[in-house]
Amino acid sequence: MWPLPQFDKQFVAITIQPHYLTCSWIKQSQKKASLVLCAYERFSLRNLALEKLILFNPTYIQRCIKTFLATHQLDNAFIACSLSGPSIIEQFLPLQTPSPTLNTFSLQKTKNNILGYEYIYPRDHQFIFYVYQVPQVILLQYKLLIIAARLNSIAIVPQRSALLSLYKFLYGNAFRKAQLAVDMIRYHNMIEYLFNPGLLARIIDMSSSIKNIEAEMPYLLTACGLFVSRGIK
Amino acid sequence: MKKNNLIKTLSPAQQYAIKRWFIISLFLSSITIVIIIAFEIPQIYALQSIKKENTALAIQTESFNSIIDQQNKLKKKEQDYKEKQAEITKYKDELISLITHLSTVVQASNPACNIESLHIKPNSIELVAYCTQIQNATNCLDRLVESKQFHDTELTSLQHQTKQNSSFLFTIKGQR
Repeated sequence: MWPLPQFDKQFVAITIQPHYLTCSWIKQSQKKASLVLCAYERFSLRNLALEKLILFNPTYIQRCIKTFLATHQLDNAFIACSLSGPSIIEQFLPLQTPSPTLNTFSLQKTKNNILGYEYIYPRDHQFIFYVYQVPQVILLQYKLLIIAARLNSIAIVPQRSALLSLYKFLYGNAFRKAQLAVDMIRYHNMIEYLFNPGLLARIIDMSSSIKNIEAEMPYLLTACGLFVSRGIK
Repeated sequence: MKKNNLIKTLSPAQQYAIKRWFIISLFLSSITIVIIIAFEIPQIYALQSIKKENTALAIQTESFNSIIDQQNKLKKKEQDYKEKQAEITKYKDELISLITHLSTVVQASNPACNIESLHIKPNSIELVAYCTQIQNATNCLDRLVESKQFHDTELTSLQHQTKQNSSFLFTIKGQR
């Protein structure tokens, strides 16, 4: 509707990783699983289309995304992206204070990076924070990609941030930071290992459209995390 | 867990809120415009009708201009004529008045008095006449007073003419 850009109540999660780009059309469900995967596609990023999260061939990446959206008539859907790769510096830092400022973190801060943090769990009278840094240059590339592709983007987040949101969603009211601490310590803060195909099946109904679930699981988990973190209904 | 986001965007809830606000604003604006139009259109229509009527009447009355000019000229002429007529009437009335006064004076002086001179001025009259007896002069004065055409009429002088001639010369003055 002029002059408002059109948007509909659809959600597409885009995960961008060093060699793959996935697009997932996810809906809320009233059935056994909380979410429904309406469409999913994984695009291979070869020939240096994407290297260290730097877009060397944005035209191709834009075409992949637009193709998926056009195929499923999702041109006006809400889009959320997750980034994962060596250019993003991610750490789990123990701090003495539960309410730090940006200056509290003993990281090499530069104006070229965006710094973000999130409290995860307590451990031995310390507070473990998830801290991430993203280079401004890389983020600018993705912003330009969003503008060029005319996407109604509502978020760009690191992959682990999306997975943390999914973990909280999975436990719902039973979520406890102490339990998260136990799980994280068990898997050495590798949050990807907290999930398995059984949990994924509880979260999202894939309707047997995906044959090799284990291969697609990291991307689907991230997509689900993006959906639940944005509070789309 | 807080919502991390590397870009500043409008959340879906904010976008829906903006859309709702826009639709409600558009709806209310449309209603306002419709109401204004509903009130204004009859007036505009009336104005247009009056303009059309005025134009039609202007076309119809184009030939009237020469007539109106002629009428104005004639009215001016009429006014001039009326002024002239008024002047003529005034002179005529003065003349009639003069004749009346003259005849009155002549009748008043007859038959015993001989008029020597008579000055009729716009506001006054002066009669000089001869009479054989004084009584004739007073009679003449009485008759002039009775005629009511003069006021403040009075006998201003009365004198014996000569020893050989026993007539009297008297003067009567009055106001017209």
